[in-house]
Amino acid sequence: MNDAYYTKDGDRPELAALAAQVIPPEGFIADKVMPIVPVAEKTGTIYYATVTADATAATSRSAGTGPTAVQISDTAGSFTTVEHSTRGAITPDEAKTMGSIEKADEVGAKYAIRNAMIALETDICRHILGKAASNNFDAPKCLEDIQTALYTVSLYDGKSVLIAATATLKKMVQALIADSAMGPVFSRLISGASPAIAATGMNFAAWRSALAMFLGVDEVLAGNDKVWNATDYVGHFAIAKIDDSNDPLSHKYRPILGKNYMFMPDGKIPYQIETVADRVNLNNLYTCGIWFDSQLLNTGALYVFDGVQ
Amino acid sequence: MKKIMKKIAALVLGALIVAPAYAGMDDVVYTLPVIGSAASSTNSATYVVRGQIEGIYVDFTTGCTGTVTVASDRGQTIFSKATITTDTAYYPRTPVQNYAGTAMSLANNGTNGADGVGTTIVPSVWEKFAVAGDVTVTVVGETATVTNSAVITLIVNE
Repeated sequence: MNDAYYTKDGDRPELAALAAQVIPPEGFIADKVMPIVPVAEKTGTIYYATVTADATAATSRSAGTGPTAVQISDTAGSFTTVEHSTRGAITPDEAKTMGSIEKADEVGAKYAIRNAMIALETDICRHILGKAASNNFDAPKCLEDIQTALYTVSLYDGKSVLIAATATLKKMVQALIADSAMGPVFSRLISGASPAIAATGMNFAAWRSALAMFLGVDEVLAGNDKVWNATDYVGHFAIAKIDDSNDPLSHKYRPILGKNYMFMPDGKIPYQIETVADRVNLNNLYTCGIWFDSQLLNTGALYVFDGVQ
Repeated sequence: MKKIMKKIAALVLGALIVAPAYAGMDDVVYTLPVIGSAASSTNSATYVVRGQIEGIYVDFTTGCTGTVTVASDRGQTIFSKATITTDTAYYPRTPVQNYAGTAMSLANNGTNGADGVGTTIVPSVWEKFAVAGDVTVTVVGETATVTNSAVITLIVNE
């Protein structure tokens, strides 16, 4: 086969940058739920903030004595990043069919990156929807139940979110509309004043923002069904407080849900792509590797529901 | 004319949107995909159900035998049957009590005397289960070699 249909050997940061294009519309939400903390070592110690219980303000302080102090300090833990690697292969004749080796490089790299992303997404989903449920979804009582959840997580930092698979969110909308008490309220909320607005309000983004408004959360995160609606998590959703600070070190002083510690070999892009022109087996190989350890730092910032059907 | 038609269309659509949902029959489906391939392997699921349980439909994988229990969080056992082998519909009912909380027996039905005067006929002493809370369906597989799985459907009058 012509040399033109064999890829280059080596590290391909320009292909790794394709990660941004791989995300499907009904998204991969792991980075939002647990933001990335780049780390220089594969393992290490983390110091993170937790919620210190509130103390009642004293009203009977004796003269000459100070108020009772409550010590506030960080908790220590450790992380160990593990390599997750995936590999796609495209034969030179396929590369020719695709038009050029550049096109084949893109297809192969995207495939490998997507699988690495699914590994990351699966790991974070396990932390979130895998937590034992504290309550079961009940459409007529959902406002009350969601408020209980929001109150439970209220002392943690960040913005309040509802995290669920897209399929679960649609089932929630369906259950709310079908309910005799919540249905009319919810329909009016989404439809607004006129039928014309109702017609435009029926897309999924509108339902999502309606859910956020109706339930009183800052954002609704719709996870990809492949991961977030896997058999173990069917009907689960979570109310959580997630970090919204863009500060990789925010966990040191803000009690937040969790972080994803990523070891980046080059210090910049978490997805490392290597390509090999395998002339022994007449193949082009695209390997994506990421190193991570996602850590649920404050399990109290998470409240899980089950039973959406 | 066009304007009037537009107005009517807007009114009809508006009415549809604000119309309250009415009670009716609904199905609550408990899908327990993999109960396990060992005897006594268990799986369960819980949903909030509001209404009267009209019936329960048990759908097992071919060759699978199991025990199905449907229970509410109020301590009611709505249905419990072992060694179910075929897909069947069940209609469980519960005995009711009178206003004093005493269990009613058939004698409470009274008799319709020859003159038909002074007797009270109670229509039924068995009633559908009323639930408003968590209802858990538990399936225990009884076959060791088959990967047991089950779909239990509650037909609920909401």
